[in-house]
Amino acid sequence: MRCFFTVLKMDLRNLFRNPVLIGYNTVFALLLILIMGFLTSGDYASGKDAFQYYLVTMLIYGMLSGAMTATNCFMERDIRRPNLRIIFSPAGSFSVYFSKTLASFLFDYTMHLLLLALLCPLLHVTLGAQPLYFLLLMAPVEFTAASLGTFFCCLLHTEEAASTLLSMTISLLCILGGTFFSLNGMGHILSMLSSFSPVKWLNDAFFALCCDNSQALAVPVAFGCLIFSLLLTAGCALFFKTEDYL
Amino acid sequence: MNTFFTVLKNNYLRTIPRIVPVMIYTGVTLLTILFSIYFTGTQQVRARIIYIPADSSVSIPHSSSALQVTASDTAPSCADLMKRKYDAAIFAGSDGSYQIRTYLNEKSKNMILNLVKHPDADLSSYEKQRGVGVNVLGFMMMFLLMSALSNLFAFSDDREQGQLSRIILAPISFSWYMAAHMVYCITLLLPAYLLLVLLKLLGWNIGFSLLQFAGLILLLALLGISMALLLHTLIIKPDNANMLGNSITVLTCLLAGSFHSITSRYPVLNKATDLLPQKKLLDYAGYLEQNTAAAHSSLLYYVILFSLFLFLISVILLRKQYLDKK
Repeated sequence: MRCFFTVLKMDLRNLFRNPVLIGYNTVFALLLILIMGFLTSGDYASGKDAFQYYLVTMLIYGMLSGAMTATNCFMERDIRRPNLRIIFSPAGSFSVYFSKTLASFLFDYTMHLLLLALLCPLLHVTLGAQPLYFLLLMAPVEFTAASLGTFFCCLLHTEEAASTLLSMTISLLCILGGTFFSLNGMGHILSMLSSFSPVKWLNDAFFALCCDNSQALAVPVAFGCLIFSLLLTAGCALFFKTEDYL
Repeated sequence: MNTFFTVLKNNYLRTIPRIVPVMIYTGVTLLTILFSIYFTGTQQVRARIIYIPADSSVSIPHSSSALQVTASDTAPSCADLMKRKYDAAIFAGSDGSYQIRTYLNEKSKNMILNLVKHPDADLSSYEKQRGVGVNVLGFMMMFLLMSALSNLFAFSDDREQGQLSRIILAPISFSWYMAAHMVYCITLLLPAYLLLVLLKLLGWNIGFSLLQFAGLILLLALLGISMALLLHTLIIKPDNANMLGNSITVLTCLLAGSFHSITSRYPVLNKATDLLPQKKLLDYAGYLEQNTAAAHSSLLYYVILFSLFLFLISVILLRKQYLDKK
């Protein structure tokens, strides 16, 4: 266990010292929210509503993009070799991939909480009557994204392939889920496709929390995320091969 | 010239281990082209409303091509209105009065009220739609720029692993070396163009002629390559440069309105987005659609000069880093 924490500490230190990753998880999300809010504010009766919409959807996009933090944390060129050494140390292979998942989760969650702490008062956006539920529901989503990143690294063996595939898939699912614009007005086929996107379910759950104070969707989403992330972690154990590092 | 072909051939050989990301970019670009054509083709419903009559005596307006009506007994949740599942909720009183609840602006509100009263009203005064050519260009723009960025991997790998200083010292032409990388990048964008050629041959309406598309894609490629070159010159780690470049591409393409023409309430911001080369290219495509492009060729010069400017900065920086040290 102590070995695991040593590895975790190193991973966290690596993450918090990487300016590109910090920027990607804060400044990029911030700019997306502000820009999309500014751009569409003309469509709404009050500008605040545009920010409310894009704060929630872009936050979900940002949380799912946490998968790219995990791929970068796991298989970046400078980290691959140290990984090999850890596998043959008493820490074992589990600490390699699970500590990356956990470290990326902690890193992303911190960054997004900071982002919310800055934006909510600034844009007068509400997280619902009980902001704590909103913040709590973020945790399983972040964790699923992180384990998704690690799983794809184990599956595809390179950061390049894993992060390209993931960023494309996530962007596509987000477009289908209505992150950038609502798909309801774009024909029957698209709105049907949209209801299959998991991003849409996440949007529904978070909007229900912040607009209607209803927790009905939050519980199934949280459990779904937890089960999915457990499956992904089990998948890591299945697909993790020492030979990939040689 | 020899250098050119050797580097080009080498680049293709180096693509083989990276075939997965290349295929993904190409696949997604092709899908977006198809999607943009489908998207323009579906007649868009202008407003979706939920209609809540006070009692059963109130008649419910019929749905039309522009208006989609859902009748309901209960008011929709705020989340449904916020997510634009319905654009507006109309509460109809038994005395024929309407009450509307929506997050949308006055103009849309009036349009919706007008539609509820006259479902087949003429809407041409409200908003003009973009044509298929502009939509195809706008939708594939982001993906073409992103793939140009990742296709310069051979150059960035050379640079990161220190091969570039060897290449510069070797008795080969550096210009041909760079030219090979650029031509390689452009050839990887060919599948998107070939799909357009195929669609044209199949008789689909893709908006512009093939020559016009070739020109527009070439301009996009030049823009993407010069941006990628600058980023890979400034940032040594290819992963970080790609990540930053992708973020910049997504943001600027959204700002330029490549997916959705934009109406902001902040005029300063509109002025700022006018400076983006992507916006100029989209504007030019818009004029091309209305056959008034000849008067607006300055937009094209802007894009070309912008790319040349980025390219020159990277060349100067590269010279500073490598040649002057020699």
